[in-house]
Amino acid sequence: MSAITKKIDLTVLGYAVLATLLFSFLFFTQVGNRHLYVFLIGIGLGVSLYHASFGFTGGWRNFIEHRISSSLRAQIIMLGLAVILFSFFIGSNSWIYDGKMIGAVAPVSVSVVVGSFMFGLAMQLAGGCGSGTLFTASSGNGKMAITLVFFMIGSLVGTYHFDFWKSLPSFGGVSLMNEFGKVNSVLLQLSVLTLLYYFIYKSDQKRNVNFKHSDIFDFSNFDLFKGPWPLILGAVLLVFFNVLMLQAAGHPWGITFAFGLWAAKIVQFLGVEVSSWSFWQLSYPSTALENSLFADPTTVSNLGIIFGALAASALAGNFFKASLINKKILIAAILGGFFMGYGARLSFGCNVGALFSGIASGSLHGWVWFLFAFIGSMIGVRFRRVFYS
Amino acid sequence: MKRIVYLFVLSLCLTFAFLDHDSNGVAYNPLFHSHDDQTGGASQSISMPCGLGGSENHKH
Repeated sequence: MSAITKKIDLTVLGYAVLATLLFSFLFFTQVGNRHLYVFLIGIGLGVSLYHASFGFTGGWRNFIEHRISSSLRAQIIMLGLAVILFSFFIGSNSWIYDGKMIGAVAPVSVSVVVGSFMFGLAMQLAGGCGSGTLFTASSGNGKMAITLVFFMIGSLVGTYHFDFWKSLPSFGGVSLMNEFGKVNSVLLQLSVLTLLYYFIYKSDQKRNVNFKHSDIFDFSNFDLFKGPWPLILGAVLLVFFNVLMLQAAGHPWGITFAFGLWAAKIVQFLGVEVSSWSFWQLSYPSTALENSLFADPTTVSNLGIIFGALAASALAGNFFKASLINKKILIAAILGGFFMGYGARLSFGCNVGALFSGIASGSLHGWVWFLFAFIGSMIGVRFRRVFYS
Repeated sequence: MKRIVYLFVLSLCLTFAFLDHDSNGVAYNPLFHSHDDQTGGASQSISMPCGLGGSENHKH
Protein backbone atom coordinates (compact mmCIF):
# COMPACT_ATOMS: atom_id res chain seq x y z
CA MET A 1 0.00 0.00 0.00
CA SER A 2 1.49 3.36 -0.92
CA ALA A 3 1.76 6.16 1.59
CA ILE A 4 -0.77 8.19 -0.42
CA THR A 5 -3.54 5.62 0.05
CA LYS A 6 -2.96 5.18 3.79
CA LYS A 7 -5.46 6.73 6.14
CA ILE A 8 -4.58 9.56 8.44
CA ASP A 9 -4.42 8.35 12.05
CA LEU A 10 -6.80 10.87 13.59
CA THR A 11 -6.30 9.69 17.19
CA VAL A 12 -2.55 10.18 17.04
CA LEU A 13 -2.86 13.40 15.05
CA GLY A 14 -5.34 14.74 17.60
CA TYR A 15 -2.97 13.84 20.44
CA ALA A 16 -0.09 15.62 18.69
CA VAL A 17 -2.17 18.73 17.98
CA LEU A 18 -3.54 18.93 21.52
CA ALA A 19 -0.10 18.40 23.04
CA THR A 20 1.32 21.10 20.76
CA LEU A 21 -1.37 23.57 21.81
CA LEU A 22 -0.93 22.72 25.49
CA PHE A 23 2.85 23.06 25.44
CA SER A 24 2.72 26.20 23.30
CA PHE A 25 0.46 27.79 25.89
CA LEU A 26 2.65 26.57 28.75
CA PHE A 27 5.89 27.82 27.21
CA PHE A 28 4.39 31.19 26.29
CA THR A 29 2.74 31.83 29.66
CA GLN A 30 5.14 30.16 32.10
CA VAL A 31 8.57 30.14 30.47
CA GLY A 32 8.89 32.71 27.72
CA ASN A 33 8.22 33.52 24.09
CA ARG A 34 11.68 32.38 22.95
CA HIS A 35 10.97 28.93 24.35
CA LEU A 36 7.76 28.92 22.36
CA TYR A 37 9.71 29.74 19.19
CA VAL A 38 12.25 26.99 19.97
CA PHE A 39 9.37 24.55 20.49
CA LEU A 40 7.74 25.48 17.17
CA ILE A 41 11.09 25.19 15.38
CA GLY A 42 11.41 21.73 16.94
CA ILE A 43 8.05 20.79 15.44
CA GLY A 44 9.28 21.90 12.02
CA LEU A 45 12.41 19.80 12.51
CA GLY A 46 10.38 16.75 13.56
CA VAL A 47 8.09 16.96 10.53
CA SER A 48 11.03 17.52 8.16
CA LEU A 49 13.09 14.67 9.62
CA TYR A 50 10.15 12.28 9.37
CA HIS A 51 8.82 13.19 5.93
CA ALA A 52 12.26 13.36 4.31
CA SER A 53 13.40 10.26 6.26
CA PHE A 54 16.50 12.29 6.91
CA GLY A 55 18.86 10.14 8.93
CA PHE A 56 22.61 9.82 8.90
CA THR A 57 22.84 6.14 9.80
CA GLY A 58 21.15 4.55 6.81
CA GLY A 59 22.77 7.00 4.40
CA TRP A 60 26.25 6.23 5.67
CA ARG A 61 25.54 2.50 5.67
CA ASN A 62 24.22 2.61 2.09
CA PHE A 63 27.42 4.28 0.99
CA ILE A 64 29.73 1.98 2.97
CA GLU A 65 28.01 -1.20 1.81
CA HIS A 66 26.73 -0.37 -1.66
CA ARG A 67 28.32 2.99 -2.54
CA ILE A 68 24.80 4.44 -2.84
CA SER A 69 25.43 8.09 -2.09
CA SER A 70 22.10 9.93 -2.31
CA SER A 71 21.67 10.54 1.41
CA LEU A 72 25.33 11.37 1.95
CA ARG A 73 25.28 13.85 -0.93
CA ALA A 74 22.20 15.53 0.56
CA GLN A 75 24.07 15.78 3.88
CA ILE A 76 27.07 17.38 2.16
CA ILE A 77 24.81 19.94 0.48
CA MET A 78 23.13 20.59 3.83
CA LEU A 79 26.51 21.19 5.48
CA GLY A 80 27.62 23.51 2.67
CA LEU A 81 24.45 25.60 2.91
CA ALA A 82 24.74 25.75 6.69
CA VAL A 83 28.41 26.80 6.55
CA ILE A 84 27.50 29.73 4.27
CA LEU A 85 24.43 30.88 6.21
CA PHE A 86 25.91 30.47 9.69
CA SER A 87 28.92 32.59 8.72
CA PHE A 88 26.57 35.58 8.37
CA PHE A 89 25.02 35.09 11.80
CA ILE A 90 27.60 33.73 14.26
CA GLY A 91 28.74 36.58 16.47
CA SER A 92 25.99 38.90 15.19
CA ASN A 93 22.96 40.19 17.03
CA SER A 94 19.86 38.04 16.84
CA TRP A 95 16.74 39.23 15.03
CA ILE A 96 14.65 37.90 17.91
CA TYR A 97 16.38 38.98 21.12
CA ASP A 98 18.89 41.56 22.20
CA GLY A 99 22.13 39.61 22.24
CA LYS A 100 24.75 37.89 20.15
CA MET A 101 24.44 34.41 18.71
CA ILE A 102 27.19 31.91 19.46
CA GLY A 103 28.40 28.88 17.56
CA ALA A 104 28.77 25.26 18.65
CA VAL A 105 32.53 25.28 19.15
CA ALA A 106 33.90 22.45 21.30
CA PRO A 107 37.38 21.08 21.99
CA VAL A 108 39.38 18.91 19.66
CA SER A 109 40.45 16.23 22.07
CA VAL A 110 41.13 12.55 22.65
CA SER A 111 37.63 12.26 24.09
CA VAL A 112 36.12 13.56 20.83
CA VAL A 113 38.08 10.99 18.81
CA VAL A 114 37.03 8.12 21.10
CA GLY A 115 33.46 9.36 21.55
CA SER A 116 32.72 9.99 17.88
CA PHE A 117 34.21 6.63 16.87
CA MET A 118 32.06 4.95 19.52
CA PHE A 119 29.00 6.90 18.38
CA GLY A 120 29.51 6.00 14.72
CA LEU A 121 29.87 2.31 15.52
CA ALA A 122 26.92 2.30 17.91
CA MET A 123 24.55 4.12 15.58
CA GLN A 124 24.94 1.34 13.04
CA LEU A 125 24.04 -1.21 15.70
CA ALA A 126 21.01 0.77 16.81
CA GLY A 127 19.91 1.73 13.31
CA GLY A 128 19.56 5.42 14.14
CA CYS A 129 21.65 8.42 15.20
CA GLY A 130 20.71 11.15 17.70
CA SER A 131 18.07 12.82 15.54
CA GLY A 132 17.09 9.51 13.93
CA THR A 133 16.50 7.84 17.28
CA LEU A 134 14.36 10.73 18.50
CA PHE A 135 12.12 11.08 15.46
CA THR A 136 11.66 7.35 14.83
CA ALA A 137 10.96 6.60 18.50
CA SER A 138 8.43 9.44 18.44
CA SER A 139 6.70 7.99 15.41
CA GLY A 140 5.99 4.73 17.21
CA ASN A 141 9.04 2.61 16.47
CA GLY A 142 9.30 0.37 19.55
CA LYS A 143 12.89 -0.69 18.90
CA MET A 144 14.02 2.92 18.68
CA ALA A 145 12.10 3.76 21.86
CA ILE A 146 14.25 1.13 23.63
CA THR A 147 17.33 2.66 21.97
CA LEU A 148 16.29 6.08 23.28
CA VAL A 149 16.01 4.82 26.86
CA PHE A 150 19.53 3.36 26.69
CA PHE A 151 20.76 6.49 24.91
CA MET A 152 19.67 8.40 28.01
CA ILE A 153 21.37 5.90 30.34
CA GLY A 154 24.59 6.02 28.29
CA SER A 155 24.54 9.83 28.36
CA LEU A 156 24.17 9.78 32.13
CA VAL A 157 27.02 7.31 32.61
CA GLY A 158 29.11 9.52 30.29
CA THR A 159 28.53 12.46 32.60
CA TYR A 160 29.60 10.29 35.58
CA HIS A 161 32.95 9.58 33.88
CA PHE A 162 33.30 13.18 32.74
CA ASP A 163 36.37 13.90 34.92
CA PHE A 164 38.39 11.09 33.40
CA TRP A 165 37.65 12.05 29.79
CA LYS A 166 38.20 15.72 30.53
CA SER A 167 41.67 14.91 31.88
CA LEU A 168 42.85 13.47 28.54
CA PRO A 169 44.86 15.63 26.10
CA SER A 170 42.93 18.39 24.36
CA PHE A 171 43.71 21.27 21.99
CA GLY A 172 40.74 23.20 23.32
CA GLY A 173 38.09 24.68 21.05
CA VAL A 174 39.34 25.55 17.57
CA SER A 175 37.11 27.96 15.64
CA LEU A 176 38.07 28.10 11.97
CA MET A 177 36.29 31.46 11.78
CA ASN A 178 38.62 32.86 14.45
CA GLU A 179 41.71 31.19 13.01
CA PHE A 180 41.27 32.12 9.36
CA GLY A 181 38.52 34.76 9.29
CA LYS A 182 34.95 34.21 8.15
CA VAL A 183 35.51 34.32 4.38
CA ASN A 184 38.54 32.04 4.38
CA SER A 185 36.87 29.67 6.81
CA VAL A 186 33.83 29.38 4.55
CA LEU A 187 35.99 28.89 1.44
CA LEU A 188 38.12 26.28 3.18
CA GLN A 189 35.13 24.31 4.44
CA LEU A 190 33.29 24.53 1.11
CA SER A 191 36.43 23.28 -0.67
CA VAL A 192 36.62 20.24 1.60
CA LEU A 193 32.89 19.59 1.17
CA THR A 194 33.19 19.88 -2.62
CA LEU A 195 36.06 17.40 -2.66
CA LEU A 196 34.04 15.05 -0.47
CA TYR A 197 31.03 15.37 -2.77
CA TYR A 198 33.22 14.64 -5.79
CA PHE A 199 34.77 11.56 -4.15
CA ILE A 200 31.40 10.27 -3.01
CA TYR A 201 29.61 10.67 -6.32
CA LYS A 202 32.57 9.21 -8.27
CA SER A 203 32.54 6.15 -5.99
CA ASP A 204 28.80 5.77 -6.50
CA GLN A 205 29.02 6.28 -10.26
CA LYS A 206 31.77 3.68 -10.52
CA ARG A 207 29.78 1.02 -8.64
CA ASN A 208 26.20 1.82 -9.68
CA VAL A 209 25.40 2.27 -13.34
CA ASN A 210 22.06 3.93 -12.59
CA PHE A 211 23.65 6.77 -10.65
CA LYS A 212 21.93 10.13 -11.09
CA HIS A 213 22.72 13.45 -9.43
CA SER A 214 19.05 14.34 -9.64
CA ASP A 215 17.82 11.50 -7.40
CA ILE A 216 17.85 13.71 -4.32
CA PHE A 217 15.74 16.31 -6.15
CA ASP A 218 13.02 13.83 -7.08
CA PHE A 219 9.62 15.42 -6.36
CA SER A 220 7.63 12.85 -8.34
CA ASN A 221 6.02 11.24 -5.24
CA PHE A 222 6.00 14.45 -3.23
CA ASP A 223 3.07 14.97 -0.89
CA LEU A 224 3.32 17.92 1.49
CA PHE A 225 1.21 16.40 4.27
CA LYS A 226 1.76 12.67 3.90
CA GLY A 227 5.29 12.62 2.53
CA PRO A 228 7.65 11.45 1.29
CA TRP A 229 9.69 14.57 0.77
CA PRO A 230 12.80 14.53 -1.39
CA LEU A 231 16.11 14.49 0.46
CA ILE A 232 17.08 17.91 -0.83
CA LEU A 233 13.95 19.47 0.67
CA GLY A 234 14.81 17.81 4.00
CA ALA A 235 18.37 19.15 3.78
CA VAL A 236 17.26 22.71 2.99
CA LEU A 237 14.61 22.70 5.72
CA LEU A 238 17.02 21.37 8.36
CA VAL A 239 19.39 24.24 7.53
CA PHE A 240 16.50 26.71 7.60
CA PHE A 241 15.30 25.49 11.01
CA ASN A 242 18.85 25.36 12.40
CA VAL A 243 19.31 29.02 11.40
CA LEU A 244 16.01 29.85 13.09
CA MET A 245 17.18 27.92 16.16
CA LEU A 246 20.33 30.03 16.21
CA GLN A 247 18.20 33.17 16.04
CA ALA A 248 15.72 32.11 18.72
CA ALA A 249 17.91 30.20 21.19
CA GLY A 250 21.17 32.04 20.52
CA HIS A 251 22.99 28.80 19.80
CA PRO A 252 22.65 26.13 17.10
CA TRP A 253 20.49 23.03 17.24
CA GLY A 254 21.53 20.26 19.64
CA ILE A 255 19.77 17.14 20.87
CA THR A 256 21.73 14.88 23.20
CA PHE A 257 22.39 17.14 26.20
CA ALA A 258 18.70 16.80 27.00
CA PHE A 259 18.89 12.98 27.01
CA GLY A 260 21.50 13.08 29.78
CA LEU A 261 19.50 15.72 31.61
CA TRP A 262 16.30 13.65 31.48
CA ALA A 263 18.13 10.62 32.85
CA ALA A 264 19.79 12.72 35.55
CA LYS A 265 16.40 14.12 36.62
CA ILE A 266 14.94 10.61 36.85
CA VAL A 267 17.77 9.13 38.94
CA GLN A 268 17.79 12.25 41.10
CA PHE A 269 14.09 11.68 41.69
CA LEU A 270 14.99 8.11 42.72
CA GLY A 271 17.44 9.45 45.29
CA VAL A 272 20.81 9.48 43.51
CA GLU A 273 22.89 12.60 44.27
CA VAL A 274 23.63 13.45 40.65
CA SER A 275 24.33 17.06 41.55
CA SER A 276 27.55 15.98 43.28
CA TRP A 277 29.02 14.71 40.00
CA SER A 278 31.45 17.21 38.52
CA PHE A 279 29.65 17.43 35.16
CA TRP A 280 26.47 18.47 36.93
CA GLN A 281 28.38 21.12 38.83
CA LEU A 282 29.40 22.92 35.63
CA SER A 283 27.63 26.22 35.13
CA TYR A 284 24.93 25.31 32.63
CA PRO A 285 24.36 21.63 33.55
CA SER A 286 23.92 22.54 37.22
CA THR A 287 21.44 25.26 36.29
CA ALA A 288 19.56 22.86 34.02
CA LEU A 289 19.42 20.22 36.76
CA GLU A 290 18.00 22.62 39.33
CA ASN A 291 15.52 24.20 36.95
CA SER A 292 12.37 22.97 35.30
CA LEU A 293 12.98 20.76 32.28
CA PHE A 294 10.89 23.23 30.34
CA ALA A 295 13.52 25.92 30.85
CA ASP A 296 16.13 23.88 28.98
CA PRO A 297 16.00 24.84 25.28
CA THR A 298 17.36 21.45 24.16
CA THR A 299 14.52 19.69 25.98
CA VAL A 300 12.04 22.16 24.49
CA SER A 301 13.24 21.59 20.91
CA ASN A 302 13.29 17.81 21.49
CA LEU A 303 9.66 17.99 22.65
CA GLY A 304 8.87 19.84 19.44
CA ILE A 305 10.60 17.11 17.42
CA ILE A 306 8.61 14.44 19.28
CA PHE A 307 5.25 16.08 18.51
CA GLY A 308 6.31 17.01 14.97
CA ALA A 309 7.31 13.42 14.16
CA LEU A 310 4.18 12.14 15.89
CA ALA A 311 1.98 14.38 13.75
CA ALA A 312 3.88 13.59 10.54
CA SER A 313 3.65 9.83 11.11
CA ALA A 314 -0.08 10.18 11.84
CA LEU A 315 -0.58 12.17 8.63
CA ALA A 316 1.35 9.53 6.70
CA GLY A 317 -0.73 6.78 8.34
CA ASN A 318 2.47 5.16 9.53
CA PHE A 319 2.36 5.60 13.31
CA PHE A 320 3.45 2.49 15.20
CA LYS A 321 4.62 0.58 12.19
CA ALA A 322 5.16 -2.92 13.52
CA SER A 323 8.80 -3.90 13.49
CA LEU A 324 10.34 -7.26 14.22
CA ILE A 325 12.20 -7.24 17.54
CA ASN A 326 13.98 -10.47 18.37
CA LYS A 327 16.57 -11.06 21.08
CA LYS A 328 19.50 -10.14 18.85
CA ILE A 329 17.90 -6.92 17.64
CA LEU A 330 16.99 -6.03 21.21
CA ILE A 331 20.64 -6.43 22.26
CA ALA A 332 21.71 -4.28 19.29
CA ALA A 333 19.22 -1.58 20.31
CA ILE A 334 20.43 -1.63 23.93
CA LEU A 335 24.15 -1.62 23.08
CA GLY A 336 23.70 0.89 20.28
CA GLY A 337 21.65 3.26 22.43
CA PHE A 338 23.97 3.04 25.41
CA PHE A 339 27.18 3.63 23.48
CA MET A 340 25.66 6.40 21.38
CA GLY A 341 24.71 8.17 24.59
CA TYR A 342 28.12 7.60 26.16
CA GLY A 343 29.92 8.58 22.95
CA ALA A 344 27.83 11.72 22.54
CA ARG A 345 28.89 12.98 25.97
CA LEU A 346 32.55 12.27 25.27
CA SER A 347 32.45 13.95 21.89
CA PHE A 348 30.33 16.97 22.85
CA GLY A 349 27.29 16.04 20.80
CA CYS A 350 25.91 13.79 18.13
CA ASN A 351 25.45 14.02 14.39
CA VAL A 352 23.43 17.20 15.01
CA GLY A 353 25.15 19.07 17.86
CA ALA A 354 28.70 18.10 16.90
CA LEU A 355 28.66 17.32 13.18
CA PHE A 356 25.92 19.52 11.69
CA SER A 357 25.99 22.46 14.09
CA GLY A 358 29.74 22.11 14.76
CA ILE A 359 30.76 22.25 11.10
CA ALA A 360 28.18 24.99 10.41
CA SER A 361 29.78 27.01 13.23
CA GLY A 362 33.28 26.50 11.82
CA SER A 363 34.37 24.29 14.71
CA LEU A 364 37.24 21.92 13.94
CA HIS A 365 35.79 19.39 16.35
CA GLY A 366 32.85 18.92 13.96
CA TRP A 367 35.23 17.71 11.26
CA VAL A 368 37.08 15.42 13.66
CA TRP A 369 33.70 14.06 14.76
CA PHE A 370 32.68 13.44 11.12
CA LEU A 371 35.91 11.56 10.32
CA PHE A 372 35.97 9.30 13.36
CA ALA A 373 32.23 8.66 13.42
CA PHE A 374 32.47 7.57 9.80
CA ILE A 375 35.37 5.22 10.59
CA GLY A 376 33.32 3.89 13.52
CA SER A 377 30.37 3.38 11.17
CA MET A 378 32.52 1.39 8.74
CA ILE A 379 33.27 -1.06 11.55
CA GLY A 380 29.73 -0.81 12.94
CA VAL A 381 28.26 -1.93 9.63
CA ARG A 382 30.23 -5.19 9.97
CA PHE A 383 29.15 -5.70 13.60
CA ARG A 384 25.57 -4.97 12.61
CA ARG A 385 25.46 -8.11 10.45
CA VAL A 386 25.84 -10.21 13.59
CA PHE A 387 22.62 -8.82 15.03
CA TYR A 388 20.49 -8.28 11.93
CA SER A 389 21.29 -11.45 10.00
CA MET B 1 -4.36 -1.01 21.22
CA LYS B 2 -0.56 -0.90 20.99
CA ARG B 3 -0.60 2.69 19.80
CA ILE B 4 -2.82 3.68 22.75
CA VAL B 5 -0.30 2.06 25.11
CA TYR B 6 2.45 3.96 23.30
CA LEU B 7 0.62 7.27 23.74
CA PHE B 8 -0.07 6.41 27.37
CA VAL B 9 3.63 5.83 28.04
CA LEU B 10 4.46 9.12 26.29
CA SER B 11 1.83 10.84 28.46
CA LEU B 12 3.44 9.37 31.60
CA CYS B 13 6.81 10.80 30.54
CA LEU B 14 5.22 14.19 29.90
CA THR B 15 3.53 14.01 33.30
CA PHE B 16 6.95 13.50 34.90
CA ALA B 17 8.16 16.62 33.07
CA PHE B 18 5.12 18.57 34.29
CA LEU B 19 5.77 17.44 37.87
CA ASP B 20 9.39 18.48 37.53
CA HIS B 21 8.27 21.86 36.22
CA ASP B 22 5.81 22.22 39.06
CA SER B 23 8.42 21.28 41.63
CA ASN B 24 11.43 23.22 40.36
CA GLY B 25 9.90 26.09 38.42
CA VAL B 26 11.94 28.40 36.26
CA ALA B 27 14.17 30.02 38.85
CA TYR B 28 16.69 30.87 36.19
CA ASN B 29 15.69 31.06 32.58
CA PRO B 30 18.67 30.53 30.31
CA LEU B 31 17.05 32.40 27.46
CA PHE B 32 15.87 35.30 29.58
CA HIS B 33 18.46 37.16 31.46
CA SER B 34 20.09 40.51 31.26
CA HIS B 35 23.80 41.05 31.47
CA ASP B 36 23.47 42.44 34.97
CA ASP B 37 21.57 39.46 36.33
CA GLN B 38 22.58 36.98 39.01
CA THR B 39 25.62 35.79 37.13
CA GLY B 40 27.32 39.14 37.49
CA GLY B 41 28.03 39.61 33.81
CA ALA B 42 28.87 36.01 33.12
CA SER B 43 25.43 35.37 31.79
CA GLN B 44 26.56 34.71 28.24
CA SER B 45 28.55 31.70 29.33
CA ILE B 46 25.78 30.27 31.46
CA SER B 47 23.15 31.02 28.82
CA MET B 48 24.75 28.59 26.39
CA PRO B 49 22.98 25.30 27.04
CA CYS B 50 26.03 23.51 25.78
CA GLY B 51 24.20 20.62 24.39
CA LEU B 52 27.82 19.95 23.57
CA GLY B 53 28.75 18.99 27.05
CA GLY B 54 29.26 21.83 29.45
CA SER B 55 30.20 25.42 29.02
CA GLU B 56 33.18 25.15 31.34
CA ASN B 57 34.80 22.68 29.05
CA HIS B 58 34.94 24.93 26.06
CA LYS B 59 35.07 28.61 25.37
CA HIS B 60 32.64 30.36 23.11
